Amino acid sequence: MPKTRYILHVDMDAFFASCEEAVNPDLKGKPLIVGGTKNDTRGIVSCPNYLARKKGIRTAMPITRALQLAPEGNFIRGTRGIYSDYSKRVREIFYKYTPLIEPMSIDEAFLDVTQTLRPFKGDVYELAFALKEDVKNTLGITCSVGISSNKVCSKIASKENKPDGITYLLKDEEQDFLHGLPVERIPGVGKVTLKHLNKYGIFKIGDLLNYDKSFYEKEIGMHSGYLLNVANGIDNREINTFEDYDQKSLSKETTLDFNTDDKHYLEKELYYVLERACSRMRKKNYISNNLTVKVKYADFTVNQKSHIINRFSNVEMDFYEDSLALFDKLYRKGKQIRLVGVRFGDLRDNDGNLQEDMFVKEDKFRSLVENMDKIRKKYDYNVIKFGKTFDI
Amino acid sequence: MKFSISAEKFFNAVNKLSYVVPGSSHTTLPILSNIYFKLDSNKLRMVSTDLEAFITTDLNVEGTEDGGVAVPARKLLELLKAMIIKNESVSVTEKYSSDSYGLLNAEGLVPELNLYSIKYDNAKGTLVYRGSIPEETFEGLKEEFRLFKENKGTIAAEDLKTALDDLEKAVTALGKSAVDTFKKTTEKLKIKFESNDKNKITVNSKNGKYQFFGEPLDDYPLPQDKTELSRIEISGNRFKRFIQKVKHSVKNDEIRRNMAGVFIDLRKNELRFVATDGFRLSKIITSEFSHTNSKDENFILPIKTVDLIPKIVTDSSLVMEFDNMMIKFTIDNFNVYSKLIDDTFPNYESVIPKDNDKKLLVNRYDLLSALRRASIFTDKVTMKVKFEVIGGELTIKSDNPEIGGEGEETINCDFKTNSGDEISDAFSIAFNVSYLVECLSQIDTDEVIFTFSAPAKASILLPVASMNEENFMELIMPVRVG
Repeated sequence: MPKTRYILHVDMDAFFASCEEAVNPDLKGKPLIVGGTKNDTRGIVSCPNYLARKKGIRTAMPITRALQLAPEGNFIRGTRGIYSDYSKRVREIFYKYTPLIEPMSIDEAFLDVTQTLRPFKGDVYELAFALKEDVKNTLGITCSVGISSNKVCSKIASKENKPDGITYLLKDEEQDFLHGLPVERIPGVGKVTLKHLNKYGIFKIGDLLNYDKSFYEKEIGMHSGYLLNVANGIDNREINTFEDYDQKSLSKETTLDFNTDDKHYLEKELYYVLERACSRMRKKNYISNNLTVKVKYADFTVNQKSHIINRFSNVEMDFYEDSLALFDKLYRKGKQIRLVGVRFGDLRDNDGNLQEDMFVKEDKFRSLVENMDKIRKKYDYNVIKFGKTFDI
Repeated sequence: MKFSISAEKFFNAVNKLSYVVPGSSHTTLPILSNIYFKLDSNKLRMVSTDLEAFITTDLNVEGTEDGGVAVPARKLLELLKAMIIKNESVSVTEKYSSDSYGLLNAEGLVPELNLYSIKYDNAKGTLVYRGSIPEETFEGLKEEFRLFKENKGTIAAEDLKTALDDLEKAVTALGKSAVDTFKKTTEKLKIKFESNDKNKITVNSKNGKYQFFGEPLDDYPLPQDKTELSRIEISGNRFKRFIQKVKHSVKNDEIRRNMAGVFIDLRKNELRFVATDGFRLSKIITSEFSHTNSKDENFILPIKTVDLIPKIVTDSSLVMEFDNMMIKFTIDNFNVYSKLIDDTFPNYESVIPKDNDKKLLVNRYDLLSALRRASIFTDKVTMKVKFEVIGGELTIKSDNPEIGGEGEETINCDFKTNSGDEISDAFSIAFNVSYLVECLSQIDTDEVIFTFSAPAKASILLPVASMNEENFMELIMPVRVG
């Protein structure tokens, strides 16, 4: 029998709101709604703090509705850059506990701590507690931890004791724990699947065991094996650390605070994502000549355009004009846009060789952005900005 | 509409017009896959377009009934081709040595002639021409060959010279035999063309009768003739040659178009053709042209038109009339109308260095051959080859750390300052090998001059002597070695 694994799922509590509070403690003690100011009539709540949640405010609720529920609350648009910054710092803390980390999104990650329990005398709860307190004391934000022998159980468990809690499932408790939970707690079960399952009398995870595999194959489609495995507490997926796969492309995108067709504003946002993507390429010492610009419109349709640039680079100046030209092909006056992004494909290692361009005096610009990289690394991404992106 | 015309003349016109006809999958306007035909007594007006460019011509025909129809271009062209060209490949009877062919091919000399699809048939030991080419093109080939010989001057290597002489003999025979075949089949062949009011087209020849449907002319877009255009006149051959000299430097960029064409820069007594992609720049200047305005004018000719005009150009003169939006070319009885690129060409003069103080003189063939070998071992990102010059020797190095290969060879050279003093210090600089090869291929002289200032600064390539009132230079940006 294989050794029992210990998988942690760490989920940051009201992450955006917590970051805002950590940066600006004056915001504490009142409901905080990140997503838009009180005047953003078309805004959507992106993250409420726990006081706001108590008032019934939820993610994706219109700002106007949130304002009715908590008129005394603080309403802010959100500060660009601090979330990924905090996310990075959280990850650095994780690395003190295990090298096996799989970041799932900006505010959650899986950690495999099976091999690193010795300092905690083999007690995984002790480790989780130390980690949670470490995050709280170092950064002033809280997280919740789910512990079990596999990813899916841990993920479901981390939601149980929120905020600032730990849920530890012993290997033989896992199934009982799961069976009593509503089936929509399984990651991947959305509205449509739920409706389907309800139709057959499946409301709790335990109910899934009333049917066999062929039923799920026929009725539910792609979820067939997965759902039954979850119900049986089986999930053998490994932790995929970042370093495990060879990165061939790199992308950066941003969902806007509000939908817009303001071209000037959108071009600033585009510069912002381009700058971040190039900064990441420089950090990893990659170069690319393959640029894609992506937009998501208000109706959630996505369109993108790609272009091969004549030479490889990792400096935003070399891509900016092209990104504008590509964006121009995606932009229609009157068509609202909610997200802009860029992707660099065909990444190569930068060996320092560079084809000179007679019309581009790149040296100055390159040393400028490299110095900006250093300043940002030491302090914070937002301490230094180009005039272009100053007001977004 | 009813008219008759000689097959050769008709084919020639339809063939040229079809250069701009878009493929049916490439156009949203189906009428454009047709050629516009309109007959007014003995004058047949023909027009084709892809909306970017228009080609028009007026043919003298024996007209019997006026009218008009839009004729499916590909169908008509294929039919005419099949009617007049009996034999699509012609072999030279005279045996040709495969060694000579191989030698010329290795030196890159055959491709320069190869515009006309001349291949070597290993089995028969003969040269073979493939394709359908009307008579005048073969005349063009002979002219091309003469120019080619003239420009190259004498070839140093004895066996190379023999090979070239051989090739000339063979090509002449080849041309003669193809022209004979072509003449025999087309001279006497008459085509009768008619269309009725239902746009049904009938093509009659001695082979038989072919019927197909055209479209009404109503929606066919026509070019607008403008007045008050500036006018330049230049020889057709010179235009073709100039385009050939600079075209490789055009930036192939669909989304930013300011360098996606040849910049034609008209100065007082100077006509300049310039192309650049930021990494290299080609510039050729002549004073042999005439123009109506004495003021400075310029425009960017889009690469598609740059490719199109040489196919239509003949030996006779070429007239360009333009404003800031469009250009009209007049070439014999053909007119080509094209949009111009509505953007600003970069200030190219400011990037051409005037203070390059080191001068490298080297044999162009030796260098080209060495570069072709070196290019096999360059990395794929910068494709860099490194020049190391010391004393009278130029060492060319390439390496590809990714796959682990390298090459190095040394050729003789002459390295001096501008004032003629020997440079004893070593100098090194790196370039993208494909840019170098393309630039060197456009230099006409046996030897080439490079000028340098520093390893990260622009280098200039020049022929040792220029011909026919022209002045050619190429600039190439180095690869900075990290």
